[in-house]
Amino acid sequence: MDQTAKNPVLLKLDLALQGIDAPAFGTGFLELQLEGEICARAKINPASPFKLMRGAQGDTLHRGDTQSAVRLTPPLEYVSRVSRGGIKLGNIAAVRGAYAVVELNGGCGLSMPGRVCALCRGRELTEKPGEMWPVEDVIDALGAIFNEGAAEFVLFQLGYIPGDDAGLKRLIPYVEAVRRHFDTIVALSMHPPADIRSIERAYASGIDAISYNLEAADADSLQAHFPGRARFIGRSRYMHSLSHAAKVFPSGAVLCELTVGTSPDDKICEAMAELTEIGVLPVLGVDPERIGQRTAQALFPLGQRLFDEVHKAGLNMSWARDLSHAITPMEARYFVGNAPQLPLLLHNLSKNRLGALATRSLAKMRRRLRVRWVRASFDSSHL
Amino acid sequence: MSASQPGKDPLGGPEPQLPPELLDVEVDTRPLAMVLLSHSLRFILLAAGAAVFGFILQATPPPGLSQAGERALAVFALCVIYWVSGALPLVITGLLAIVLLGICGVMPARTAYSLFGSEAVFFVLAAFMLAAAVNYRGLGRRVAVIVFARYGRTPTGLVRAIYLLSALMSFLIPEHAVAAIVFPIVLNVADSLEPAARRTRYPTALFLAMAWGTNIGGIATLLGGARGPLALGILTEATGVSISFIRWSAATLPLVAILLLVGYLVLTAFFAFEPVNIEPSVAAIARRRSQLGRISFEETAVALVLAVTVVAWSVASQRFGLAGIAILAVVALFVFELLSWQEVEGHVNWGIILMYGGAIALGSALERSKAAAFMAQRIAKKTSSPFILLAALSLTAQILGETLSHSAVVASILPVGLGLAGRFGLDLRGLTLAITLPAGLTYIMPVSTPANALAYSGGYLRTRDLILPGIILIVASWIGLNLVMHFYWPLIGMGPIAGKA
Repeated sequence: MDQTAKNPVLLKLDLALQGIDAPAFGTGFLELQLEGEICARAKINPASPFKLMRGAQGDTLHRGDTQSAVRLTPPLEYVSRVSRGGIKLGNIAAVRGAYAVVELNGGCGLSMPGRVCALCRGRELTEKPGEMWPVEDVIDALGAIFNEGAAEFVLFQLGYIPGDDAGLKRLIPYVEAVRRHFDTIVALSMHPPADIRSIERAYASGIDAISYNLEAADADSLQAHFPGRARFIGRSRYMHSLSHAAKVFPSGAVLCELTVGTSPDDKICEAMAELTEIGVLPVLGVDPERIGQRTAQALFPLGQRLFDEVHKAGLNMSWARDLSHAITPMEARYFVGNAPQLPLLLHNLSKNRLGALATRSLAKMRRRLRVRWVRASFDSSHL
Repeated sequence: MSASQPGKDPLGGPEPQLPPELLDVEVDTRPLAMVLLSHSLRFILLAAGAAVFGFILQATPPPGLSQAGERALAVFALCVIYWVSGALPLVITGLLAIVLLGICGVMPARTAYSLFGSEAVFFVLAAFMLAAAVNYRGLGRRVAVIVFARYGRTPTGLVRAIYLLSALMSFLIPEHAVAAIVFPIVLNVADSLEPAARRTRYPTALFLAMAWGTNIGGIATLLGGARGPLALGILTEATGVSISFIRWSAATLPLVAILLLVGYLVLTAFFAFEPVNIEPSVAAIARRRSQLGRISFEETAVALVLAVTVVAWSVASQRFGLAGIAILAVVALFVFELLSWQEVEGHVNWGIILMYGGAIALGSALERSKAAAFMAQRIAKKTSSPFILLAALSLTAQILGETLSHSAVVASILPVGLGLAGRFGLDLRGLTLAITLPAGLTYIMPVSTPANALAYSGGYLRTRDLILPGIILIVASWIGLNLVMHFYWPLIGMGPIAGKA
């Protein structure tokens, strides 16, 4: 763990690939915070070389005779409470990193590591449509999470919904309700819509950051790993939507996840260059099942390339943060020898209370300035 | 999230509707500096208007200008800046004018408010109500569909039918109402074309036929656009001179005929020259016609009321006044239950009515305080030729009308023009027409008129395609107007030089 001890992102990758031995937590995944406020996610695996030790001084991660401090998300009270509609709040929203994640319909895995849905397998999701939580119950869950101080932002995950707007019409009541009740940043992860104007409507409705996750870097890999997405959506729609969204949303607020292992590394590098060129911030998804036998060290060049491409394009790196299942460009600075300090400085500024308030205020002001109603100009002709 | 969770909304249920405010939303993707500038521009213009107002107000009046005149000029300058720049809605600027005339002591507030009760305002109000009846009872739609079905069986025939019908209907009802009636049919016709035909310039020709037809036809009578009655109101309130309905039309019709011909030639030369298959469009019109059924009592009655009104305007407007006849026609519509108040509320552009009151009051204030004459003296020093002056005024109105509200153009230029009339010996009626008509002849920009805005909203028009043909039409309109003004109007006793008829 010598090198991983010095490089928390390498440790994050190692944890993602090898899991964590934490018998006290049963099975499933653990969300951890490593040094440098790096969010990590590890599958509980008794055979893992990483052992979690709990102590009065805090939690530590041991590998052999080396150790490093980690912080576990404490058990959250909201999980067992129920909403006004009688639904367990833990079923409605989960806390991942700094995000309160609300999965609005269950039909599609949408970039959740290890979840490959029917759509991805090549079947359109018409026979078993998903369902959506009532708006009031979602607000109850988010309110409880924010009251506990467990998350700062809201992330809506919208699975595949047939239709030109990819389900935006169904999402908007939730966004409006969040805007009404909380002063927060709202992010959205969804499949790209066929109607390009839906992207502008998404921004106008109050969504601050958006991601259309390709996962597979090239068309052949998309076809091989996600034949349904290739068939019903297609890579060109992803790229077209990402390109348009990058013009609509602030710099760095349009994300696209490329999952390591779904495509050859050179294709991922090409896709990163292609994305940054159109103003989209790539993040590297880490799914141990797709990465196979490769070590964390082997992913070093991809991390370097990620930082270099984003830095070269001059994109704001602060929007992508606290993603436990992916490497963000800001985290990728650990792979670069002399990483420039300015992005880090801006990133750190945006993380403190004042910086977060400034970020939210600027996002609101930008929306006020940029969004306009066509009817206003039509009215000017006195019809 | 499994599908069996309690309390969840199934996705298979009815799809929710988008909030109305998100339907017509767009995001300004220009660089942020540009966006900021365009947002601050409004405040800069508001401040500039206020600064100019304050500067004129506090300055010592120059020789030849009374204090009331100077204050009227200050209000006029403020209103022109706001009307031309759009820093405030036209209607609000109009109301501001009335209020400021009283506050600044240009005239007693009571007088300023009383000018709001101009006949022109009531004429425009009644014209809107008549148009509402034509629209809501379906008469306009029926006429359009029948004409298109009868005369629109070939590509050029269809363009001609849309063009001429839009123009002719604009003789009788405001051009924005004509566009609102014809647009859905034209859109249906264009969308019915085969993909190959839709990729040609032919659909552009269909929408332009509607827009240019209504704009050219709209200058023919006082009914075609509200700027005509506004000009008449300013003229009457300021000078006591009026123009009858029939004289107005007699003066404009030759110009309308020339422009309709030129417009049609430009349309066919630039947009409707390719062979296209319009069978699907013909079928779409036939389907609409079959849905119309027999003409109803209401449609017949509205047509009758409209016909009687036009005849009355032609023969009895001197005695009863344009507004009087129009209001009596509206009363008849209500007596026979051909129109409801709810329909009137939905159709009348109340903002325009309020703006007109302000513009007429301002025009009158400039005249009464001799401020218009003072401005005219200053301008008159630049030229001594009445012909050059008229050419310059009409060209200014024509160019400004392309990007500004026609009413704002008339309200800004006409008071100055009226002030110049006496010095150059111009006929007041001819001068009024020379400024009002070109302000309505707009061919390129979507913001200039509701008909253009509707044509653009069809999705087949691009500004760059309209620049060359539009410029040709602008030049043709200006030359045509000046020819008609100098060679025809004297024959019917309307100048342009007073007493030269």
